[in-house]
Amino acid sequence: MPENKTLLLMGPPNVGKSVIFNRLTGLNVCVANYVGTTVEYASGNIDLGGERYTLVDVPGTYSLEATCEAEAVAVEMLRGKPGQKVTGHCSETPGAGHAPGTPEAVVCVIDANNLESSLYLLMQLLQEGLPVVAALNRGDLAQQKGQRIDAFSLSRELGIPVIPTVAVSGKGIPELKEILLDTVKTAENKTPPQEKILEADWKQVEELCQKVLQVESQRPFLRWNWDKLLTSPWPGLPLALLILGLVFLLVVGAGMGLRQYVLLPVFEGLLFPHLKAFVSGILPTGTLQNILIGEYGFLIKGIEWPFALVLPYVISFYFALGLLEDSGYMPRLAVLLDGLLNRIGLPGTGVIPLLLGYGCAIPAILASRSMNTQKERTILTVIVCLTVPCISQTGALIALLYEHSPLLVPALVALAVLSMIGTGFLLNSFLKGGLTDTLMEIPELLLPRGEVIIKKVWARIKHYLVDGALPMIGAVALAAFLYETGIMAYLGNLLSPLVVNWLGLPGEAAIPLVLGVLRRELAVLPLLELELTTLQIFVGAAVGLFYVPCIAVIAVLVREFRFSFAAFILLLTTAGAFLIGGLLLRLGSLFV
Amino acid sequence: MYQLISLFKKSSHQPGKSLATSSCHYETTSLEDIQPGEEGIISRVPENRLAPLLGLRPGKTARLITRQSFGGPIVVEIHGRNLALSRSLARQVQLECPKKSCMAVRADDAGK
Repeated sequence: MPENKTLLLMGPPNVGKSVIFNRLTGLNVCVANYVGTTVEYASGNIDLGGERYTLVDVPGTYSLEATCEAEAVAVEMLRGKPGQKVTGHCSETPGAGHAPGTPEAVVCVIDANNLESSLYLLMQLLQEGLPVVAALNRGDLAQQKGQRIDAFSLSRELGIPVIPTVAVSGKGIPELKEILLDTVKTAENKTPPQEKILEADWKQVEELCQKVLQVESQRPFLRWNWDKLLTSPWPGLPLALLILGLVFLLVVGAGMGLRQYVLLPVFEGLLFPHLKAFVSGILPTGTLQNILIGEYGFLIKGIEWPFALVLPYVISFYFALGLLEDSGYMPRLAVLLDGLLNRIGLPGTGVIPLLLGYGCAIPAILASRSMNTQKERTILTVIVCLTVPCISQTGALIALLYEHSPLLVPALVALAVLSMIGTGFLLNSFLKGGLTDTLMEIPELLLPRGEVIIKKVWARIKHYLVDGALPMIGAVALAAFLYETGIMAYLGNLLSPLVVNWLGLPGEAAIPLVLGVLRRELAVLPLLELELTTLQIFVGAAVGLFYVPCIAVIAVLVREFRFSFAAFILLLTTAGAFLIGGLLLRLGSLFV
Repeated sequence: MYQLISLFKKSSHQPGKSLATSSCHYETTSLEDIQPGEEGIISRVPENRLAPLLGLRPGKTARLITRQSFGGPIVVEIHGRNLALSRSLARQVQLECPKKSCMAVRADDAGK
């Protein structure tokens, strides 16, 4: 099959490139209201006049000076060198990731709110000599602020088509497609490009801006008042605590509600009795029947754990994260916390990967690419691997702790936060290098759009079903097999000096430690089936929290860092979990 | 106070007006040294890859929005866009602000 011709979608960060990409290709890559949502490029197919093209969503860049990695990649793609593979941080992996050749044309998304910066990039782009179509996006927002941009005269000045679009509502997208087809066809007929070559310098850009931008009124923007409250340390910091607290309550509350009142009754009341009756009807009592419906019966736990225990939290977490991402609150949090995070060697923007990490460590590690230095990235990654439980594990931890004593939940949260701070402090003082100067854009505060959030949660659920639930079912099946055949007891014996003597847990608690290597939540879930004291439960939960992140995370660490770093994380998390667990037991025994 | 600021705003937006020859006196200060709500015209920006791209360029009017606690960044508005800058960077951004004493004179003028 001949390879499709390529079109690039470029522009400054956070102007809505990915929204336009989704509109043009019908795919569903992740969009959010902060700089650097797209960390790897995504590609999808677009149909123009009956011919298929590959459209590539290039991560946002402010310029093409190639002074940072993201820009270097963008320039490489413009000049037709092969790039890396394709994924978005919370998307379904779209299309095949073949390396594109020289693009046929470029769609440059420019921001009506920050016209000068956008035009600077656009002019640099024009110098590359490729056919360019500009999509003038977010004009609705500019209009609310009392600004109007004359797209027609901008087009005349630049010598390229300029299409006003409002990507979130789909306005201007059909026109954009039409003009794109035109441009590609004209380029094929080898007519020389009609652009006037403009030098990209700020004087030119500012003059051009003055020609096309009309400030109708300096209307005070309604959301600015809100913005000021949220961004000033007072009352911004207390509000941040309140918002994060509410998010936590929303995630936990909605997750528990879904589990207790919807999913458990359905599974335990309707599904499991039938399943048990069915299996015991066709299989004789014995090992095989136990593997299916016994203690670790994979038809029981293999369904209950992924679907009735973890799935509710996946839904509630990604709903809450969607609200934070789409509103533009995350960068405000980054600014508020910058001073505090600096003390543990992280820039304020580190809060974004950290929050993503509470969903899954993999997108967090990918998003940590946006850190300024390798030191910052290392600190962030270690913190996420060691002290940030993924949402599956959080679901398991809450089931374990809350059902025993609700007070154990805040206790574990406190332990996790303290260890996060401690880890940051230690690494910050041991690793060489200082902090880079913070300089970041704070995007507009926007009302989250229901449609976007529902799409996001849906994409996340699908992603979870394939990458989370299936491996979990497999691991439970393996556990059932190992348990019923006695292999588990043998492994437990091997580990028992550590588990029984050092951690004070029953020998069977070795099971989660074996399974926990496969998936993070399995370091916790089997504890649900044991009779444990309050202290034992807390020690077990703490060990599970700090224990090895799952196999998939280790694989990503090898890819993103080095094998030696992944090995270091394995060693650190194992040793850290046992060390802290044992210390907690001894400390706890003093009081209990 | 509002009147005074708006008066200054008008004069600062006149293109091509040289600050040095302006009838009123300006003083050189830095972004780190002004108070929330105050503004000035940027006259020098330190070497930084992102600064010009985000609108932090000489000739632009910058208004301080807020100053974060715990040594965190300051937030400025330039061209309707909010930027967060670390203190050390802000200290190196040179601003031309109307002298406080001058502003008082202007307020008097406005009063007449």
